[in-house]
Order: sequence, then C-alpha cells, then structure tokens
Amino acid sequence: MWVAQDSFYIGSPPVASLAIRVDKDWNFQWHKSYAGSSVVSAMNSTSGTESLVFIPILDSLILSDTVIYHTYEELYPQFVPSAILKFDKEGSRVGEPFMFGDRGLFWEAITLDKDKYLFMVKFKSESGQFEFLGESYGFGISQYVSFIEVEGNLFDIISSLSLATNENDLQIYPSPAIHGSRIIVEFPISIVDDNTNLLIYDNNGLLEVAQRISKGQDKIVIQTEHLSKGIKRITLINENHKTTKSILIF
Amino acid sequence: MTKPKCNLFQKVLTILFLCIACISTSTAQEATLVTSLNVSLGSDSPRFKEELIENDGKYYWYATKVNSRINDIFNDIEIEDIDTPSLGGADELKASILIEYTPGEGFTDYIVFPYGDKGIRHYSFKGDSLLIWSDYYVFAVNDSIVSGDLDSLLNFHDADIEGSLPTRLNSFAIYDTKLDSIVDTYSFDEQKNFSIEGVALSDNSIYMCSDANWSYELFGDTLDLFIPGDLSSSNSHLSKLNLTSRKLEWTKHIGDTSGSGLYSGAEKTVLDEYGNVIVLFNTWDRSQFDGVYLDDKYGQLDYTLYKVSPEGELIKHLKFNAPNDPQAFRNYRIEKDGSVNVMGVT
Repeated sequence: MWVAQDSFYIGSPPVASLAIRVDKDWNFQWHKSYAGSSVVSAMNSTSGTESLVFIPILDSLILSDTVIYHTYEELYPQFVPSAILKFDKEGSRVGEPFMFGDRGLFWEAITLDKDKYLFMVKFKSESGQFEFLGESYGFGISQYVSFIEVEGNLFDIISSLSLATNENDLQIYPSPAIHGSRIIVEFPISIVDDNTNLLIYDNNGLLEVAQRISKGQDKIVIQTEHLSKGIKRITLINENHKTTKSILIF
Repeated sequence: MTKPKCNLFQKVLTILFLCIACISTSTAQEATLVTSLNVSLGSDSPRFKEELIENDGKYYWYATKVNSRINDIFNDIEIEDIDTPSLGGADELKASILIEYTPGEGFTDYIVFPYGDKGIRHYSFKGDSLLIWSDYYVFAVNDSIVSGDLDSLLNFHDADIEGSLPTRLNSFAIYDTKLDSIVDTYSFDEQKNFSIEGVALSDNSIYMCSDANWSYELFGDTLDLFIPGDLSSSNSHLSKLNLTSRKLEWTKHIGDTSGSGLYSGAEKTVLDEYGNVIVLFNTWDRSQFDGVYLDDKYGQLDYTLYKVSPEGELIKHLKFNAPNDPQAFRNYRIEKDGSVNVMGVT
C-alpha cells in the first residue's frame, strides 16, 4: 500500500502498478492503478497538458476505473505487447491504448509536440518479430534500443499488430438504436475462430462490453440498457481479423 | 430474423450520426513513422542510462564503460578515438559519454569524459552550459584534463612501477556546448565519507546536495551534524554555491534525521522553470528541513520531495510512504514546470 501525504491513500491489493500525477503546485491531480498478474512496471512523461503512461504487459491489464482493456492470453496467445496510455491533465484517458511490440520495454515516451512522439524502447531477444508502421523490429540481435519518432494520431489505433480489416464484415442493426433496445451484430462465420471477441467501446475509448464469440456463431444480440448513450465503436477481433464499426445509441 | 425498415426519424438520425462521425474522423491524422534508429547492445557494450535528459529541445543519453568500440553501435555519428589506457591485465580505464539526440535528425553530437567510467557522478544543463561533477583521481572532458594526476594513477596500477595512488578529488567543470570549451573549473581534496549526491546548475550558482557521516567542509563553510555530536543524527545538506565568489550563499539541513548515507540520501536534484530547486530524498526516519521536523512519522523506505526557493526557503514538501515495500518506487519524473510523475509497484 502507498500513502501519498496523509489524506491521499492509494493502492491496496490486488493493485500491482501505480502512476501518480502531481501538478506544478504539488497538488495531486490523479492516479491510476493497474492490476493484472504480470504488470511489471510503468513509466510516465508529460508535456504539461498530457501524460503518457506505459506498461509492459505480460498478460492482462485492468485499470482502477474498472476498465478491462484486454486479456491478452485470450486475444493474442502469441503476443504480449506493451501498452502506452494517454491521459489529459484531468486524468481522463485520451483515445485508445496504443499497443506496441512484444515484451518491448519502454525507457522513455516523450511528447515532442502535438501528435509528435519520441519513444526509446529496449528490445530483448525474446521480443519476437513484429511490424510497426511499416518498420520491422525484433531482428536476431540479442538486445537493442530503438529511438522511434512518430507523427499523427497514434492513440486512434487500437493495436499496432497487423490485422486484416474490413468494415463491411460487420452488419449492425437497427442503427441508430434506442437506448434500452436490442441491437444485432452480424458477421461472416468464416472469420470467427476459437479466440474471437466482440468489444464495445464508448466515444472516449472506454470498454463497456467484452463478449467471447464461439466458433460457428454468425451473430450476437446486445442489450443496450447496460451501455451508456452516445457513439459506440463495436470491434470484432481475433489474431487474424479486426473489424470496427460505429453505432449511435440515443 | 427480418431486418426492420428504417422510418424517417431513424433516417434523420443516421444522417446526423454520419455527420458527427465525419467531423470526428476528418481531424484525425494517420500515424506515420518519422525516424527509427536502432542501437545494438552486446555483452561488452557501454552501459546506457534508462532515461534521456532534455535541454533546449535536444535529448542527452549518458553511458559508462565506453571505449572506441562505441563506434560499432552508432552508425550515424563518428566518435573520435577514446584514450583507454591499461590498468594492468585486460583492465582498461574506460570513459563515459553523453550522446546528443536531436528530434527529426537523430544522433547529432557527443561529449566524451575520458577515464570517467567510474568518476562522473552528476551533470546538469543550463542553456548552453553543462555542469559535470567528478569525484575520481582524474577528470577530463573531451581532450582536456580538468583535474587529477593520470600518470600517477597509471603508475599505481603498473606492476613494474612502485607508485602511490594520487589524491582523489571532488571537481566540477562547466562546459560550453556551443563553444565546445570548458569555461570554469574547481576542485578540492576528498573528505572522509563525503559525497555530492546531486547538483543543479543555475545562472550563476550551483545547488548541491551533499552528505557525510561527520562534519565536513564545503567551500569554506563547516557543515555540521543534525544534532552536533550525535553521529546517528544525519548530515545531509542542500547548499547554494555562488560561482563568482566561490562561497556558499546558504546551506540547509535536508532529508531525514537518521544516520545518513546508510539507507537514505538525495536521489534527484533539479531546478524547475521558476528557479526553485526540487530535491527527491529517500528517507528512513522523520523528514526535516533546516532542523524543523516536517512530520512525526518514522517512515521506512519513504520518499520526501522538497521544493526550495532560490533564497533557501522551503516552499512545499510531499511525502510518499510505502512502509512494507522496498521496491515500491520504481521511477519518477520531475517536469520543467515542477510537476511530478511518480511510478511504482505495490
């Protein structure tokens, strides 16, 4: 357990990893705790208005705000990526968690300018091979450090892993849908394998539903009464396909 | 199941939804890779720090255990031959280095500290000026010896020569990165169990965290124990050195109240953009500043952050307590504006 000052208690089992933000006047702004059996560490870098928090993930990641991002052993049995999360100065998460590589260890994640980032990442031999924005990493060298500069809306990408996508794979109706009603999500039976999940995110990237899809299934009925109103992003994902389509629930 | 037909209301909503979606996606710029530079690390590679130091939009990466083979891992810059004389057998007196990284360009420059593998303790940027603090027998920046006696050090390790180890020195140099030249130096003899634990360079002064388990001299002042005569009462100080007068402007007891140097010490000393000095102190006992207790808790493995004005007044302090976890605090970052990010595990 941690105690920051006398009145600010954070951390209690099973919390595994913590990130704390203190503003320039040394008032506590926000903190995030990350649980998961093998979340090993976190780092942070800030450019005044936003913070980057990054976590090497070995299997799963759960945030203190009850958001379960993924359970990677289920989603990607062969991949155990690291994640970078972006928060605004109030501690609200911005965009999607950015997944990177396979057991890569971030030493630095720096916001150079708006939508410009510098990452310093250490890779080890067991990092495996993967592709990130057209560049190959994980080439046979026992250890190396990469300086990677990226421009653009990095946190609009749910994963850097190369997956086949086709928005037409998802048919959602009715769309828009009335809150409290049922929606039906249809998909080709051919893209569903033993490790397929349907994820529903709100417009801020928070996960509201994670539902396992069984092989042979070609549609699923979602009760919207448990979802918040607004634009939802519905993603069907397995290790070969990722398909996302949006719907308005009002 | 038959798909329901859309009524007019749903059509209007669909158009509205598509407009909102278009607006939200039209501002998104696709992510692209600007540069990607890879530095391979072998078993005999330099030991790089796991952080970058920012100064004026450039980033500096520090490494120890450096010899001329560093050229094998940096393809973008050519580093001049580094003098690594033999210390007998296969041992060599290695260097340390600061590698400059410029966003958009890659690795652009470097500063070598020959013989500085074990000796360079701290560095701090202020504009074009770089303060380097060494406590080794010899201290050099690029091709200039700042202080110490290299020949005596080498003779001591030469089995054929009966030499004595030279005096270990505390030295600093201020290096102008634009002029590529040393502009100021100072050195003084080692004192027993004395160490500088952190430095921060300001316009015409240096803030220093120093420590010993006895009274010690620093730039002409005697810095005493927290409780004079009580050797377990700590002797860590935060001091401000005026670079013109070479005198301390002020000095304050800082840290905890226990025997310093055993379990506690200053881990970070930096300036924020307002000129305040910030010290992160690993405390084992009650934390205090200038002899005044800041809390009444006997913490173990705690951290106390101090923010001190240029005049030496304590502006604020924060305490992080993890009494049962020796590795709770894994990393921390103090930003230019003095804000703090703390990372850990519990």
